[in-house]
Amino acid sequence: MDKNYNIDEIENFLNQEMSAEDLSSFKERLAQEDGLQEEVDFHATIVEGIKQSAELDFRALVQDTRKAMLQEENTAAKVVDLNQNSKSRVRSLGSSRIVAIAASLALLLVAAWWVFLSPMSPERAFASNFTTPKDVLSAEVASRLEETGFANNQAALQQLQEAMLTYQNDNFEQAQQQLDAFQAQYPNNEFAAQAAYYEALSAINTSDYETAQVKLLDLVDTPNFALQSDAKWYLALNSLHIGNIELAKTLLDSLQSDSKHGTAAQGLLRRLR
Amino acid sequence: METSTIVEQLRTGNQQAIRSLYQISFPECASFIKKNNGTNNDAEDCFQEALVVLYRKVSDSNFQLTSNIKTFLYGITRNLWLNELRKRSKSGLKLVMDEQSDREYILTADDQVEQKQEEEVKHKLIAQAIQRMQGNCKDVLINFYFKKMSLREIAAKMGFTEQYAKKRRYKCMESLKQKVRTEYATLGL
Repeated sequence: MDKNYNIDEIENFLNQEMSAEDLSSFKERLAQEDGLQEEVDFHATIVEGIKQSAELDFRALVQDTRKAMLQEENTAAKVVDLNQNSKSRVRSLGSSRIVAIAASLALLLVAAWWVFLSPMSPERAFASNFTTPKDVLSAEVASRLEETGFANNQAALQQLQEAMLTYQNDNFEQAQQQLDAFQAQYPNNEFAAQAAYYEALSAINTSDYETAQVKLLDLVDTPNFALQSDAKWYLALNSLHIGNIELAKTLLDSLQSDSKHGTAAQGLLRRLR
Repeated sequence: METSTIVEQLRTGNQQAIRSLYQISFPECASFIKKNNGTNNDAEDCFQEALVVLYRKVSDSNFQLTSNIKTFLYGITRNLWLNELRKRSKSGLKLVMDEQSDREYILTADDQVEQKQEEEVKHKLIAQAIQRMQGNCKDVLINFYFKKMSLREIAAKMGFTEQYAKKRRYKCMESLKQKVRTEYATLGL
């Protein structure tokens, strides 16, 4: 197998790109030369393996995309349910005529305001609204490290602290890897969800929008997650970027009364219509 | 989104193209499978396979899609599902898409299953070896052998000179063969 074969010649033979004369001479060599037929077969197998490798990558991409799509559908359905429930609760309180008139007037004002605003493309909406949030996790981790009685947890906290330092330094590619490794190693850690949140934001910064989408979809569904409305906001922005406008609108709609993101969500919704 | 845009996006592995194809084609394909003894999971698996077949076809820069992409994808899914049903009923027959017409299907005897399985094991092993390759080797080999890009195109895409692209292709191929031979020897293949 140490013999050097001419790759171009073998490929010309396999691709049926030889002249009649070359083909006849190559066939003669195939019959006579030890190891040549074996090398031709091996080369053909290698080329097929290369093709399958590309397909393997594509298959993983399809699976990630589909997973994100199904999660988005679930999230959208849940958010719609929540909105409908809260609307029916409001209705059950009794809608007076004054409230109806006030609501109509407000609607007219909003409509008039909207007329003077040009609609914004989803990509532009993403670009003009996305800013990387500051790290609020490191301080919490540091204070936990200072507490006594957490000796068993110390290695995990130090690893997380290191990852967040990378995030602070805007080295998002490495931060994403470190935060991912932290979650894989310590899935039940009290800060695992926060790590997933910062991993998602790092992923957006490295243009890995599908990973960000999957992570944020999980966080939106995570019970008692302290940064849930932030996760919802970034999921809405990320959804705009990947073209799932309906999910983005549903999320923004649900954020309208949020104290932190409400105003921005309302503004963005107006510009997207 | 237009067929040409989807094809272009698919060639570059753009997720938006995958989303679009799910949106425009999956409901119809899933409906066909479910009407023909399939489940939701079957529909998901079969459609994913159909996307891989489509990706393989459009990645070849010489391939020209002459029909509507939705019709084409439906045809592939239908073909794959009918094959699967035949496999399940152990009829020993399978349908093969006619490469020329893209639409017609030919029944062939499926008598080389075992040999095919051994080949598949080897292909998987090679695919895994490529995934582990260092530097730009994986991209060079995939661009050349899977996407059928010329060395000039590869050079332009990857920022090489054509001469360097040629050298890399040889070196990477040799290195891959060496890795695979070692694996074969370890596994006694």
